[in-house]
Amino acid sequence: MCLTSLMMSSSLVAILVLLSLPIISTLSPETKTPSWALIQAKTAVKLAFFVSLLPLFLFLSEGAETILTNWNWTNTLTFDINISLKYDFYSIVFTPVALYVSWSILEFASWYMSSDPYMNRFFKYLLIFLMAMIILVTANNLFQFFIGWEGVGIMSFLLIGWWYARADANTAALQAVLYNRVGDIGLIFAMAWISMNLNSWEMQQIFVTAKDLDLTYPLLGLVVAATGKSAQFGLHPWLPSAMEGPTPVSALLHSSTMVVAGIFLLIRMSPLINDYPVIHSACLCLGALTTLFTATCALTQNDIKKIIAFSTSSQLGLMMVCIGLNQPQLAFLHICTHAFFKAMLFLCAGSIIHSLNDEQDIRKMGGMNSLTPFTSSCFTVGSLALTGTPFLAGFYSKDAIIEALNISHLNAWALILTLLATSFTAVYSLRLVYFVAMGNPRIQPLPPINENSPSVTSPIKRLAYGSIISGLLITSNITLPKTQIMTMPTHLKLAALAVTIAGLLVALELANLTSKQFRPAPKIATHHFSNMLGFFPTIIHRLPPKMNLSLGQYIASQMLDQTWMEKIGPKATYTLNLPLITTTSNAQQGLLKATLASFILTLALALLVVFLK
Amino acid sequence: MLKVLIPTIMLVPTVWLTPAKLLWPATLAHSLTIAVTSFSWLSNPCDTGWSLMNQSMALDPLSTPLLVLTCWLLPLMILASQHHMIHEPINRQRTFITILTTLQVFLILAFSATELIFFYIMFEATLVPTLILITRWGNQAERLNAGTYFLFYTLAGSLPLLIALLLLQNTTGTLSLFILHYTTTLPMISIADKLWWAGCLVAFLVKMPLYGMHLWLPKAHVEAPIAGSMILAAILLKLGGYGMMRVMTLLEPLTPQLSYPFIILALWGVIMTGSICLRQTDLKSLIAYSSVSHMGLVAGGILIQTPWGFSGALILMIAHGLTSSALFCLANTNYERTHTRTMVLARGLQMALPLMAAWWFIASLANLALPPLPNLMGELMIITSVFNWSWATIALTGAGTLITAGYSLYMFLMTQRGPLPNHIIALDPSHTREHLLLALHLLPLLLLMGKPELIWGWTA
Repeated sequence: MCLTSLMMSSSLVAILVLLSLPIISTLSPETKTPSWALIQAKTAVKLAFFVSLLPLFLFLSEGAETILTNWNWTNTLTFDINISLKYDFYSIVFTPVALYVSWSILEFASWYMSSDPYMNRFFKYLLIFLMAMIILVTANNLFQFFIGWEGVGIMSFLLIGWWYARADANTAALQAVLYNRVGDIGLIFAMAWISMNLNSWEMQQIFVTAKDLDLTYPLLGLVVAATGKSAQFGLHPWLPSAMEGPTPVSALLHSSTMVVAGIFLLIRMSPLINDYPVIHSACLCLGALTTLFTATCALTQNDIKKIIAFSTSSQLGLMMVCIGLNQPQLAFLHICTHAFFKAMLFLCAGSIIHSLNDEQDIRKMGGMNSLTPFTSSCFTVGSLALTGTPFLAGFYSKDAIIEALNISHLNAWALILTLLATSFTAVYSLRLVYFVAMGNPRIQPLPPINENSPSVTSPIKRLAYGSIISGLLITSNITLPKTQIMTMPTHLKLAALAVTIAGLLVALELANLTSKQFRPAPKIATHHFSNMLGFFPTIIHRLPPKMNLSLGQYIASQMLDQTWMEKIGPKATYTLNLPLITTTSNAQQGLLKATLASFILTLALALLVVFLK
Repeated sequence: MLKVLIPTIMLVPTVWLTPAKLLWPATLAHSLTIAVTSFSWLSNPCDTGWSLMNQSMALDPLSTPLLVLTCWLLPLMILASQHHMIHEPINRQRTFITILTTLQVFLILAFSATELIFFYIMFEATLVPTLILITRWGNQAERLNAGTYFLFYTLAGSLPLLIALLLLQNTTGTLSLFILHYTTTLPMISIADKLWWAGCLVAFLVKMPLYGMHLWLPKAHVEAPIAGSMILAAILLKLGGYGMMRVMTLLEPLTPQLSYPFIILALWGVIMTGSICLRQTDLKSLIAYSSVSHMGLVAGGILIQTPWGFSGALILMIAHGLTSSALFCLANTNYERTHTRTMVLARGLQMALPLMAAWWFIASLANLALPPLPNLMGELMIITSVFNWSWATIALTGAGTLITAGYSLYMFLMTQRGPLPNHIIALDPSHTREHLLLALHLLPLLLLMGKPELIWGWTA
């Protein structure tokens, strides 16, 4: 084994070991001190991050990628399942990003959760989640991928339901699992199809053997899986609901790592999708619809976390658009840059929420610029990066995506939707900054404002550096697997910027209008549509569950189980036998004449038979 | 074989001769030793085929995991019953353990039988101790009804099997599993032949139970004492699956058309019983219906008759045996504290019993088949093999997984999460015995992830 691949594989194992050590320390009977989280868990992630830089540098200098198959887990007839780790471009770049973001979030969580009696358990959950995420990213095998996939799903269940005495948190947790399960059906379908037709779940074997087959249906299954996990239109409501969890959870799971798993699956499988325009169109339309719909929902929300959640969903839609454009590497780039600024936005939101005595409504904020200058400036930087301001992180990925979209000839409808969503990004970002940081304070008296703890500032600071330079850093150091579009007309080149600026201007105008009243009764139908999330949850969270529960109660339980099956089974035996039993038993009531008569009759019959024979 | 069977029989004198003070520890230690001894069966020296033979008993990769599970479950039943038996007079305690032991003897004989008629007799013999367990040691008056349902459903299904086996004996001249494969198969022409085919299977389908013939199961589970529920869920249902796999291979040349309706019924049952679970208010009944739902998947996997289907069915049977037994134990710990099976009356228990909540969580996850637990491996293999037969099944199996996740987490959230109701003012803390019991259920499940070939069956 040559040194490079040895170093890469051993550093991957080292990362997993480092992350699992604090979890294993649970087994020791000693009680953990409250500082355990900060000292052990955070340090473990930090070390893991530095270790993960090693393969990154090796990759940058030598372009080294490695696949490690080290244990034949099990096999059925000719079908092997191996533990096999893939350390390629995507996982090498994503692992340090995920670990860097988690390092900051864990440090922040040690401040945010400091009053929680089970803070150490919270950190363990986060570490287990992180391990599942790394398993997912480095999996070279669909089964292993599925382990990571469900692992992050179930940790998301636990973490959303962290405050488990609250009904809302439990509902949101269950909602997340159920929506993800709908997506899982797609993944299970694809896995079943692949194992039956290709006889392997190993990635490279799938890529090689799938050449001659029609893969449309399994690929659609994968798209469904990604729809569930990455909260695309149709299966999106769980993501805003997931904001019931603690803010560090929202920052880690529901913005930067877990929710991109669906997109990551499609990126991993992109060599297969290459030849299927149908799948491209499906992804493109789905992504465009998601990005516009969720951006529309973000426009009128009042909960600071909900707005950021919807913007996450909108960005996920944009990534899906990239998959549809057959530019998976741009989607990947956007995953990486998005992780920094979205995690930072959530951390800033967390800091502000704590500072304002757990107030999440942006209408009751305002003027934070002078109250928490550091947090709100970072918040603004994050929002700017999100809108794709030139030379911040978001610009490098978002601009490339819009450019690729502009010059593609796939679907003008999707193009318009996406451009509209891009301008909406500017609108809701400005609205957020306008209500939170600018203007006069509308806060409760005596808020416990304090952003001076290093556990608040340093993570946000680190992520702010990331939000500013990560785009430049990543794009200038790595060569994307596909060539970027280099030439295009000026108006197409400037389209992304133009729509963003247009959005900004419209938003400024709207912001001016908020303090004035033009009509006595404003027309608010559109506002209702956006504010009520397009009436989607109202319908979907009522009708199908009600149908299924009614099926369970009235048809399955009452009609079939308790009525018909009883009636034709046990009860039928009873009713059918009863007349027979009553007749025979009534015949024998000790009446001498009747007994003798029947005796003589049967005797005569018997004799008749005997003699006639 | 005999090194496990004879100690199991000798458990009866142990039960009756041990001093009263040592009754539970001694029987527990004894049965646990048997269980540990039975592990040696798992290292099967020959790759396929039979091992450890004597005249009428042998092991093969199909029966070994089920036998080990049988042996493993007796100590667990003894552990679980300790609390509710402690107020009984000592002789009744002894009788109770004797009945459990008898059941184990019959089960060992049933799973290791090499002669079909021997298997049949033992299959029927298990009814007696189970019936006594349900009707004597159940709690409510409804237990008599449950016992009747249990007995008559099973008998009505299995008497045709006797006739079918006798017919087979008459035609082929043997019922030995060793040579039955090499005899000429029965022709499948007349309606009578098809009836014979159905007669061979219906007994097992009732025992599984297949949807539509499952009414006895929720009743039996709900009314049985904890040991009864455990053994019913863990082993007795699997007797049906095991028998079906044994007989299936003899029914060649198969008329697949005959089994298709059963597959569809089984998969449809997954959805129907899953939906019933979503509306259950009774904890034990919920777990019982979830057993029906999982066994529907097993039935589908067996009836499809592919190597993957068989493997998946066996894996799911073992995994589900441990999981549902663990869930019944958990339900029983609740019952022993709150004296109710109704879920709304015992909510928010994570506040009061945090470590129990961890066991609940693991057991619920196992029930909803989280990868890489063996439950998932089994389900995935079954889903794949029925998918290979028809694409449309993914709609049923997929909806099944969704509903399974729904009711498993519903059960978890209802019992563990939320605020603790006010009427629960004094709860016993959870005992070490209970934690041990749950650990002994769930650790094997977790350890099986490392080497799932042990329960892979013929295709390992």
